[in-house]
Amino acid sequence: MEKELIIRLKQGSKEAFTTLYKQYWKQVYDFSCLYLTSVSAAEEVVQEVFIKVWESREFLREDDNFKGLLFIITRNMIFNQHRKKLNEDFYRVTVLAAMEKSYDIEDEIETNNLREYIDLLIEELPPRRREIFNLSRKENKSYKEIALLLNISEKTVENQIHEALKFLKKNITLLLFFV
Amino acid sequence: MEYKEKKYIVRKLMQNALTEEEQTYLSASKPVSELMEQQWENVEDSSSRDSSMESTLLKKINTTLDVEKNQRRRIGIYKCYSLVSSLLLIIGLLSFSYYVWQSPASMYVVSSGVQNIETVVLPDGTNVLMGPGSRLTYPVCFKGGKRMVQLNGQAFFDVAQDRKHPFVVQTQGMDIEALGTAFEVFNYEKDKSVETVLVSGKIKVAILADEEGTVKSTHLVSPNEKITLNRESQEVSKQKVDASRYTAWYNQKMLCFQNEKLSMIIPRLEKWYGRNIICPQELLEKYRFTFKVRDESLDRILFIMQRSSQLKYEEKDNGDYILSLK
Repeated sequence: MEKELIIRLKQGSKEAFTTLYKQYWKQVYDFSCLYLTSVSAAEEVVQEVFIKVWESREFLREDDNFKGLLFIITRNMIFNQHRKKLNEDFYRVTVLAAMEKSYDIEDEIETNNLREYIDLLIEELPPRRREIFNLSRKENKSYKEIALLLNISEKTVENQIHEALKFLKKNITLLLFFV
Repeated sequence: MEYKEKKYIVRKLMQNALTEEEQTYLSASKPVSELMEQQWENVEDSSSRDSSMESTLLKKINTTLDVEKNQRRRIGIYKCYSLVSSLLLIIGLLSFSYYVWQSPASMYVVSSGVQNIETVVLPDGTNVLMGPGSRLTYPVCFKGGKRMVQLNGQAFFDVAQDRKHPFVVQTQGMDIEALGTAFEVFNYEKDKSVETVLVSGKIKVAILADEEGTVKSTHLVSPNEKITLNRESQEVSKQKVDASRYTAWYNQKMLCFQNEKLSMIIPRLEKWYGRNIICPQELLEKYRFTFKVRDESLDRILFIMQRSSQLKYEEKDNGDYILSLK
């Protein structure tokens, strides 16, 4: 089904393009909203991503994962063209969470140390702030999901995460000596 | 990814000290990319989304694509201008504001981004190569005696021959008129002066007294001459230059400096990267550099300049760079 759409898109079918747009624009938009602080920037990303898809349609391969390709274009668009509007806190928690995961055995011990050290630091946070921060850091939840889960406002989540990061920032230089 | 790197990354991340390259590298690295892909897969339905957004955005996309289909052709940068017999180059630095077009004909506006060169074909067949951060306004079709376009930024024009309809690039303070030739304009909104450099051929430059376009004076410019209008003092001056130096960017599709003063280099780096570089006047005329820019970051270039000269640089919180003596 999608394969046929891609083949028709490659041949220049506007109809196939529109179908793919309707199917995926929300995902591009919602993902952009996670990482960008302005709604209008997210709207721009949607436009730029699909213009890019149209412009590079000849290079598409019907066997490739189209959704995966959209992800890469979207991610690059956000980090290259719109970095000034980046939601820094959300980005930080994501990278931090990624750094705390190990990908091979060699890496494992060191990663565990890093994770333990950050856990140790976070122990010092007030319990509510720690809970909110860990939902974001360990369970990779968006601000909105956390807000729903704990029945608080999104703004509160944003503030608590900001404060937690501020605390980490203050204490992270010790990381150099301890881990 | 190595642990040492991890420790380094976490530290710099928390201190908000990652460079652009590091951030780009990190976002595409396996651990971060995988996590982001999970977020991408699980991204929730945002209820705050306007229901009309789907069609509004699609319409905007289609409008852009239609403009491109009719008006823009991506042409090999290297071959476009080799056949042009006379070359005309105009470099302008000025404060530019749009004036309203006299005729109500519909207009196209094409913009290029930071570190981006765009090719546009105008309705009369004129090729335009736009430098970074530039905006060109032109009509759907040319009517009347003169072919008029407006530019904010930097562009190289390869004008289609038509002696009956002179080609005019309008900027605030200066109109550049050519009959059938190729030339470049360098003029950005913030800047206070207009510079015009001619490679070969002949152009007529009209200095304008006001926004209505009253001509104050006209000047004929010869090859390898630079005419400068300071918009604040209204002073006009001419000097001899090597015009081919100004054309390197479109020949090589990169910034290229051969023993140039900082006063020439800095405005071009600023446009290419879309960042401000603040430098004291006395250093602008004193230091010279030779280098080419391919895909290096601005940070990297300034770092190398720092290592190889008496200059040092720092980045301010607002993203501006400051150059000073060590």
